[in-house]
Amino acid sequence: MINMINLEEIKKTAKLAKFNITGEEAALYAKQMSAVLDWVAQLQSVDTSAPQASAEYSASAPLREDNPKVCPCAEDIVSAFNDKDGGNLKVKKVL
Amino acid sequence: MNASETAAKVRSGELKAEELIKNRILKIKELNPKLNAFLEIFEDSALAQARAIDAKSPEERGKLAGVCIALKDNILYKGHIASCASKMLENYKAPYNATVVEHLLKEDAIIIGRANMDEFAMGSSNENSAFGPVRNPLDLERVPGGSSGGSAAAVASGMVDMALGSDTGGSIRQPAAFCGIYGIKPTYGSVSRYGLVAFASSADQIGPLTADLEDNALLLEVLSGYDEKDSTSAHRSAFKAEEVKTEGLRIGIPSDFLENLNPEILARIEAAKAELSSKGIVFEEISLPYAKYASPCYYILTSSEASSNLARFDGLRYGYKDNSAEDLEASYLKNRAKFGPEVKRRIMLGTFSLGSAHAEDYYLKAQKVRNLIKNDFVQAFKQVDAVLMPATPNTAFKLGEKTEDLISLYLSDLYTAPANIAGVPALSFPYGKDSKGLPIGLQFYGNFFDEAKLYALAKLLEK
Repeated sequence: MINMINLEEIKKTAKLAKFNITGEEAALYAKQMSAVLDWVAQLQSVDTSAPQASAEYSASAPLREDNPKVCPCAEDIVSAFNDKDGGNLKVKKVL
Repeated sequence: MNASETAAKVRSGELKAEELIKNRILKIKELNPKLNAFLEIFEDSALAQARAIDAKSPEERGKLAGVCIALKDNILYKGHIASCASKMLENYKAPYNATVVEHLLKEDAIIIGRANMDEFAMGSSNENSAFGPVRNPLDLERVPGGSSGGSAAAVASGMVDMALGSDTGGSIRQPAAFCGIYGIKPTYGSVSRYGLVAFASSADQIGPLTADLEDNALLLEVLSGYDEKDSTSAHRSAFKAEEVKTEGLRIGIPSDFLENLNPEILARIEAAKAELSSKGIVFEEISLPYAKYASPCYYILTSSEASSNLARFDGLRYGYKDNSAEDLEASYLKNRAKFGPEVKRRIMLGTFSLGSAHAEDYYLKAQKVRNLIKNDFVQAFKQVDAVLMPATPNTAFKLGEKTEDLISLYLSDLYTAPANIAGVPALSFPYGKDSKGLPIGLQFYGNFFDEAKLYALAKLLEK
């Protein structure tokens, strides 16, 4: 495989993605992700120097103005939070 | 009797919604243990809905009065669980309705339950559900396709009249093809994504799966239309299933994209071409030189978007929470262990593709190729009204057949992913069977917001 990802890169990626993976899983991911990256490597052969190959993708419709509004179901959403203390939402200690 | 006819009879009072729904519930209870298409039946709310419809006057009853519909398990229905077939959201109750659910309720469709799917809509076989695979009702040894496999199996087995699916790279059209029914991925922006659990926001679209063509168009009418709650919603009025004069319409055949196609499926393309030609359709050779890159492009872009969209499932904002962790970091690691293997793999791939060391080679490169693919279709639709191609490279495969070969499984999207990458609509329709007796699905691709033409063309081939 040309695009072999090493175990260090897999561990670094897992850390960024907040996954706790075992050595065995890291080896499996290295193998599977290398196979996928080998397959997607065909994109490298595409000439993207033409102006229509811009990195800005626009969907079929223009986006609406991003104006903030009060969400009518804010209370329902907050009530779905796991742990609360009075009006505060509780999380585990950060430090 | 199709859903439009059922609704007409419920509206007039000739049929009682409550009776219809009770029969459906019996049928689901009989068939579901074998198929695993439903993760939950909403018996109480469905019966309450049915009684409320029966109590209305005929004029008050909606377009889909008494029609029985399944929701894919990633669409929010207030007060009901929406788990995305994941242990991560096993007990997550929707705090509000998706816009499509609001539309269904307004038209008196009866939401009967939530359909199984590949976890977080990632998969092409429904084997990635945390709650067991779905089986194809036409052959229980085979997969129904994915990720909307439960929706497709529920429709194909007659458990429901209609189902909603979501399609990010083929997740409505591929299972529709494997189960011998109709499925459309509407134009990006035509159906609101508000209340659809996001996988890859630039490609996700909700759409209908039905056994009947007319029903499919009817359901799209109900689902579509501008919604200010979805920032990518198109400023247009809802789709209308209007009559289209088909004589003289031009269909493109992208021969360069159909190289190495399974001969049995190619034979059906040829048969469709002959049948349509006899009905006044004109065929033209077209070229889609970049379409073959849509699948690899899809895996990079959608995995990248998923790595960002699924960051919210950390046990704090959303998802499973393990209370034993000491601090925040440990809590993240424990909570996120609830994702299944394919979801983790795609988040890993996306995180890697977006990393500062690789973004130029992977994410940005794929984004550039995406524009070339979109341009392929923009050019094609200057020349033709629709493009004919297969829905899938093969017919339904056996459970377990492709679990070891990721790339082969990923290539299930070969003919469907271009529509999501370009944003154009595509309709998958059943057209004959292979030598094993399994349904073959073909597709019409259309120009942006040109769904009416696709339905009109499929109508010419309806059996």
